[in-house]
Amino acid sequence: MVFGPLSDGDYMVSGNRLRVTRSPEGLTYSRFNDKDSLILSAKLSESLTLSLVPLEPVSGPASGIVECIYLKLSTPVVVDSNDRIVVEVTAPIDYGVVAYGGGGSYNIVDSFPESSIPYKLALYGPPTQGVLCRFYRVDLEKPQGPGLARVSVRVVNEMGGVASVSNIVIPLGGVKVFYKPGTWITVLNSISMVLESRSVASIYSDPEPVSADFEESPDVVKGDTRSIDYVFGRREFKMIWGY
Amino acid sequence: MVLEELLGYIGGYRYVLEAVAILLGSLLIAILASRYFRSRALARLSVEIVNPVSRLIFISILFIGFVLALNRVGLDIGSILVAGGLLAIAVGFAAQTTVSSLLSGTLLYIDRPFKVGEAVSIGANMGVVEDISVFSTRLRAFDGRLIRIPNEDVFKSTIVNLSATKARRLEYQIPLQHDVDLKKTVEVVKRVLDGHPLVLAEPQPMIFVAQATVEAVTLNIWAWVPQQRFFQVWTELLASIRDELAKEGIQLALPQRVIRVRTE
Repeated sequence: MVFGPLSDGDYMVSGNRLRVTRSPEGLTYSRFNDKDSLILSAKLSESLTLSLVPLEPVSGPASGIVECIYLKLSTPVVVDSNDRIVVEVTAPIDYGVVAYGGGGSYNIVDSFPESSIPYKLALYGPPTQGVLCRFYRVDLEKPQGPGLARVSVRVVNEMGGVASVSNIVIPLGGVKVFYKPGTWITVLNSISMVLESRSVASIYSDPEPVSADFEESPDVVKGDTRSIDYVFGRREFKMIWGY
Repeated sequence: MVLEELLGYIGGYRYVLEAVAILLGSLLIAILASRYFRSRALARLSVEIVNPVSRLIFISILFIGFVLALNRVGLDIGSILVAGGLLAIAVGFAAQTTVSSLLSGTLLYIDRPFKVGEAVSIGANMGVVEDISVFSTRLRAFDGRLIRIPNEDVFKSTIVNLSATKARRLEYQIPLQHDVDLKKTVEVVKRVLDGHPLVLAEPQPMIFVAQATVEAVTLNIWAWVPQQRFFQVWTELLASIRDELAKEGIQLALPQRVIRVRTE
């Protein structure tokens, strides 16, 4: 399984069988599960190009209610006062089948999560004001695998005293997904985490492209979600309930 | 002839035309003022507040225009206002419930325990708020019925806003037989909770023995789930827990009564 254009044929992706057939009437896309039951089917016009790409992790059982990615580190990251450290973590991504048309327009035909990664949610903050996130336990020692994207997090300690970071919450509005065509290698835009006090950290996302040989995936979550916008403001996400 | 006499009595055609002009003018001003208010206020205030205030502005301006028009045709405003005041008192006594609902509606606008579109429970009624008017609140029950509750009753009732939280804790009480292996039971339930994608990892679920009576050992299960998927998860989990316990041979407690037979 690799990311990139899908031509006629069958493709196995995370236990799903994707089938693309081209006929004079146009394209047909179908997805079957591991029991070979049809999950989804779509007819597309002939001029469209189908591609398999990584997407932000918003599909699956919690579709429509996930607002962020909550990464719980297996080992805490300890940073000295006024010091910084860059850690490479992994975050879950979804698979998307996207139909690209002329002029850069696109439509996300299908999306589904990686089945081998535990699908869990968590609430960051109290029930009334918190945000619902896709939850993932990050093993810093484990290498990146399918269904996971690499994220570079720069932790900056601006407060007096040594700080320990165990949780990183990334709002989906600030996430951009990049992939290397012809491979399954995926990265998210890098993140800066500025520790301001014992319980508050600011998260900034770097919108710059990762590297020239990576392509950017379509945006599923446009801008900030309303609740995060309400609690945290537009350009920066404040982790006010601890890190 | 009668009309001419009447018009002569109240000051002639000219005053009537002026009164009509005042009425039309006040109607125009009322429309413009209420629309202007709506257009400016909607950006900052919710529609539940803007609509009644807009109506109040409209009615107030129209009322002032009406009084001025009556004055123009020669009727004494003082006596009208006195009569109006007395009438208002009489109507107030006769329509205590309505007035109470109106005041309760005003207080609800200030307190704002819920908004249109939110799922709420008001007293014994549960549903999605469809409209909050000055006198009543309308709920669309989950079975499709439309329930109109006077604001007076809304204000007096216990209100639970089900949409105000992102996550909600579901709770089960599972009665078990006394001889079950509790450690194994907790493990089975934990496995079911961990395996459900919509049971939140944080706050963590809790499984504990809450009660041990003659009839049963009661296992309490608390798990946080997204508010929007509460009912779905509630039903799915209950079925899964029951199935898994049965598969592991863990027996639920059955109603029982101990009867002692005394022999002479």
